[in-house]
Amino acid sequence: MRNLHADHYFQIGSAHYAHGLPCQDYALSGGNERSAVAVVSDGCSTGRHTDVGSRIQALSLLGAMKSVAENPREGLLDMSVAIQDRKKELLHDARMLLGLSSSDMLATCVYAYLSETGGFVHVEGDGVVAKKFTDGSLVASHYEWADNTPFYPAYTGLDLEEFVKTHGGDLSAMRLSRTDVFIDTLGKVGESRIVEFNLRDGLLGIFEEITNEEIETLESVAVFSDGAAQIEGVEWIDAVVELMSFKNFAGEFAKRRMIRALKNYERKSSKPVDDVSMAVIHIEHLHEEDEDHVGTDIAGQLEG
Amino acid sequence: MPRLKDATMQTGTVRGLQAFKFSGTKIGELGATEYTLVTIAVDTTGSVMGFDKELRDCLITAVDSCKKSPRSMNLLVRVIFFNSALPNGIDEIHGFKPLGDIDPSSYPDIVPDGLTPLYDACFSAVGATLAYGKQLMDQDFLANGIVIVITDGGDNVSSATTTMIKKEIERGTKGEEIESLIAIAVGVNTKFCATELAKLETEAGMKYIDAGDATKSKLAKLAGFVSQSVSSQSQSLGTGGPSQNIAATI
Repeated sequence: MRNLHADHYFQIGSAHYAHGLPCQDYALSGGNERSAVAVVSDGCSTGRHTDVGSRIQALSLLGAMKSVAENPREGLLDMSVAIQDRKKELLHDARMLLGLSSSDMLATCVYAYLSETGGFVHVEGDGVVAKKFTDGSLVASHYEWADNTPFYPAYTGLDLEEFVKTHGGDLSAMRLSRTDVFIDTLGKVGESRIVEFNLRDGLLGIFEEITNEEIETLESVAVFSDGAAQIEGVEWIDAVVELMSFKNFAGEFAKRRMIRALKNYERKSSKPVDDVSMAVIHIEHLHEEDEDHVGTDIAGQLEG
Repeated sequence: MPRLKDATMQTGTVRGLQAFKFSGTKIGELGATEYTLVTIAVDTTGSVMGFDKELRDCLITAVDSCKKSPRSMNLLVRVIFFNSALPNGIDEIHGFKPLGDIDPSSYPDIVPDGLTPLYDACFSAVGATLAYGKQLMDQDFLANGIVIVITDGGDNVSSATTTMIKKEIERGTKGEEIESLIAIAVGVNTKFCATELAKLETEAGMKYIDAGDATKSKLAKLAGFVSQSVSSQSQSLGTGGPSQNIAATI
């Protein structure tokens, strides 16, 4: 048996703060007795009101998740496709209702979903996904688009052709890469591995399954905007390790960790240049004596 | 001494020879990002006889008023009584607890007795705030503190000294164990002890405020002062320093 706790946090970066721009990152999380979701969305700096777009993106994802949860699909891949389809509808409706333009909606969507039967992460755009295991080891994956030109879900059906053209027009060209870094139980950084994806895969969004067996070994799964890789003078993997060094998991555990970590960086004159966001699902593995309390801690956590 | 009957509480010891004990909610049970640690220490010596009921009402009103603060979810409140007839001079009515877990109407009646271990009360209140605050800070919480000691007489039985209190408060203002700390002594019925109580400001580094006579209306104002000071200190959390808006008079 296990219990899931989710939390999230986001903070404006120094470049946006200094120039009077809003925070264009957003994060949300939620859960119930059976499942939990953690999502981050990073609005495009050169878009328009992408602070609004990132919020709508994350809220639509959570709304879609709720819809699909009411009518769950057999497989996790089917579930992710159903979530994408419903999210597109919600995004379209919200955009029309609020009279927003496509450039307002340019925001990434990176989320993790865990359930009783397994889970997955889904990456549309760029960012970081990290899994920390109960033995203290960690694997983190940094998704980056060529020419720092990430795909935004809002391109679908609107500016997709233009986006493909910007990337050279060849759908089979490798335009998205994932750098995996492994940290062992002693905190030692292992060798990194780079996996490349073609433009077609990037447009569909990268789906990475997390098996039920793997969940049994996990302490937490986190998603980050690429702001985690833009803290002055800090390697992205070091930032991820620091941001996932949770001291406890009650209530706003991710918020506490990120506030403290960023404050510690600030003391060393390191600031997040870009907006930074994280959303985390913590897996509490219950022993027999804990099982009486199942569900009491996460009841009512579902937000949005 | 802390009352060890609540499974959600943990205990701690204030450093120093007296080894005063305190309790606080288990850190793992706390969900917010930041907390202001509030201690209200009430003199229950023999001399409060005659206004002991009003003093208890003042305490209840003060804690109830804190519940109306916009920062109420970020307050952990501890209440202690002090007089020399109590074991070690101090009775912890409850340790640092969220306001939602406190029912002020269940506070015991004040039974006036004994002499005034005022410095011990101040020292242990400040020390407990620092000790528990450090535990919170070590666990990624942001914490500051406010200690309010209500007394009607000068010290006449403590083992702690004003110098010891001052050193504890200085630890609290350095920002290493807790972001900031305000320690206030409030004197009531101070006609014969005002000079003695003023030492808490001049020698111990506390802020001293004379509340005047222990009338019903003055004690009601004192309750308002307590809740406003608590709210103000809590609002300063995250600024790096203590509140600058604590009223100079009651």
